[in-house]
Amino acid sequence: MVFNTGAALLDAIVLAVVSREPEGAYGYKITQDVRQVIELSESTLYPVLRRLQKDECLEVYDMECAGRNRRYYKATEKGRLQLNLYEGEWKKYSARINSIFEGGMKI
Amino acid sequence: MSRWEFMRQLEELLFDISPNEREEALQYYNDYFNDAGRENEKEVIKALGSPQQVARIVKDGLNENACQGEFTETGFTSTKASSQNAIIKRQQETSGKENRAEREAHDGRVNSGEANEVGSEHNSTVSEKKETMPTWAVVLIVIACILLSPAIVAAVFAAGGTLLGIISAIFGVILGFGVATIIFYVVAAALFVAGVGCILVHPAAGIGLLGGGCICMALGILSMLLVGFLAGKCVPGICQGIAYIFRKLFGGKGGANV
Repeated sequence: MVFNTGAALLDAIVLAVVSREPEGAYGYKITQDVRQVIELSESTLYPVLRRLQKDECLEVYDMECAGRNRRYYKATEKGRLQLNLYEGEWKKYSARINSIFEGGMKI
Repeated sequence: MSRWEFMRQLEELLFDISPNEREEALQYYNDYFNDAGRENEKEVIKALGSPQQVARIVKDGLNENACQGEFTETGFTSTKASSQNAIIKRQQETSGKENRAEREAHDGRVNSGEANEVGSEHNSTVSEKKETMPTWAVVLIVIACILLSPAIVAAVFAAGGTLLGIISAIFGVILGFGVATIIFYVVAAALFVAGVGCILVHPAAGIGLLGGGCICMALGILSMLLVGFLAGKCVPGICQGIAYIFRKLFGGKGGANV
């Protein structure tokens, strides 16, 4: 891809992916879902998840699945607030960029 | 490389991070393999890259928190995501001042617990802190640094002294075994000479002396192997440990080169 994904945007994408399901999602699935929208090496996501967890935007819990524990990541209240802010910022940002590209559209 | 080999190497490479972080990372990648399924094992290993790469990414993630982040009103945030900071700040401004006391407590904790890191960080992030921190917080931090400075200096010296003591002790042990090795060899040689000398006159005594020589030789070899092990395994380990400590202390500069 031509455009880089900055840390904030990556945080936003991860938060969005995790928040899609009420019970959260596990590492492998998050990685695959994120990789469907942006190019990302498979090992990049662990530090991001860990940081979001430390910032208390994500919480983890273990759920039994096929005889073993699988670690789930789930958005916290703070994480959802953060995601809302990101989405608002993104709308403004992308609208401005679009208005430059396509012309005419006023914000 | 199999999955187990990959995980084993990763565990070894993560030896110098905290046990808690190591366990988290290992569990994550273990889960990752489990969820990818046995049939995808090869692809996952290929996609993840080498264990060295994964270990570096894990450690970079930790360094990012330790060196490039900063403590703002909300607690800890990473400066890398500067726009995130902006958002959090805006959120904070609207949420009022009810947790001012909590922040003060937090600042105090930052100074006592991670005084070294804060000290070394000042140079690199001072311009950003001016923008993000209110003046009273800066004043508080400076006062706390001044008040705590005797304790910090004492702690640094104590740590340095302990480290030096441990290193000297290890070198002493290695030297001791080295000397023992030489003595064993000399005694063995002496016993051999004496044994050969008297084997014709007193066969029994000669054989006994030769036997003693063999035992001494064996002990000598044993202690030589021990010296080799200590010097070959322990010394590099200690050096790495020291390097790790310095990296932690002087985070930004040292850590970036690794």
